[in-house]
Amino acid sequence: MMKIDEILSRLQEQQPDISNPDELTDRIMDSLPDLPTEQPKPARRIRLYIASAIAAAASVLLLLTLHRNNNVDPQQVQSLVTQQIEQKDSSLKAEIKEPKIMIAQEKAVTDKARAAIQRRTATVIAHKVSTTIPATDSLDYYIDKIERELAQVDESLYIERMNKVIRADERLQRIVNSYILHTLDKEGRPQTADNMYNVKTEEDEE
Amino acid sequence: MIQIEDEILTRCQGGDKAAFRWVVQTYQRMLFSLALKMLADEEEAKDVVQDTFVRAWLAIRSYNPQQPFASWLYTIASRLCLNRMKAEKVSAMQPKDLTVLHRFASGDDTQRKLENDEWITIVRTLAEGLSEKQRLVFTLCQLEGLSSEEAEQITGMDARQIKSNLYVARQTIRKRLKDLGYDED
Repeated sequence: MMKIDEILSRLQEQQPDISNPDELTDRIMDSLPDLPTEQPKPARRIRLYIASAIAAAASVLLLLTLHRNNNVDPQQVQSLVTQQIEQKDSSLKAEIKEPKIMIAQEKAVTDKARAAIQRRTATVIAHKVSTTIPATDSLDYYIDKIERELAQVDESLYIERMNKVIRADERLQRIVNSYILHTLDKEGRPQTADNMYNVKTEEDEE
Repeated sequence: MIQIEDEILTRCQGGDKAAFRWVVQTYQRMLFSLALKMLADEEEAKDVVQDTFVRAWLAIRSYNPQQPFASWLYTIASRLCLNRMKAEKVSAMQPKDLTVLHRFASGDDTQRKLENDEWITIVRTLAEGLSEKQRLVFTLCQLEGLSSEEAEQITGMDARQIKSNLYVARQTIRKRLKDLGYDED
């Protein structure tokens, strides 16, 4: 007769067998449903959508900023810079009491600085001109992107997405309106700005 | 525990049923063994094996490769066994069960392999009176030969709970065998 420990250890050495393993395998395989195709997680899609909306808004702001800055006349900027350089130059000349060699050196430095500032001014102006077009293009790009995404989303999400687009559009409209008001104020024509919100109808005129 | 290659699992996660068939063939005996010892019923054990693989298939994309795949399957199977045990009590020991145990413990033929119905009667005799958790820990650690760490991972119990459940289960079974006339040493 086995001892208790012997019984337990002998049980561990053995393992029950499935009477018909292939039959069980087939039974299991037949009961497996097809796995659904992997869809991007909703959270990820929402993040993508929000990122697109933010990018579009940022592009609009960039566009407006660049447009506003472009209103500054380059000739005015250049004359201001030149004026400042000349003022500095004359003040330097007044301070110099040392031999002419020093004056010549100082003048050379001033000339260099002046040339550098002129080059920089020209670069800034050129940059302003060149960045205007890509900003507009990028806005178009994001609008295209939003359209493509809307075309792909399920019907259940479409209405929600459209509501978000409408909200983003309202924000965009506010930005544009504030820009127009700002421009009009700057030009000293506040009455035109007021008219935007007080459009006279035919009934009023009567 | 048996381990399979990551590539097979990756294919399964891509929805490849042929790869999953290989997984089923590799692990079905291991799960059947656990389920039979827990439930003491061959058909119930097969149902649990089937249910385990269906659930594993449906959740294969959420499987964390850091956990051994066998442990993951054991976890699913052991929960299903516990649920069935709660829903339906395991059948009580019958007088004829003692005859099977005596024949096994006689040591006349140590090479003889136990039949499934003999397994059922033996585990029914030994595990009677154990709680569901004690029975699970005893089956995993004593009968399946898994380590305490593996049992912790499968059951979600901590080391102290595993140790205490295993201790109580062993003591209960020893007392039962002693009462049936078997010697301790």
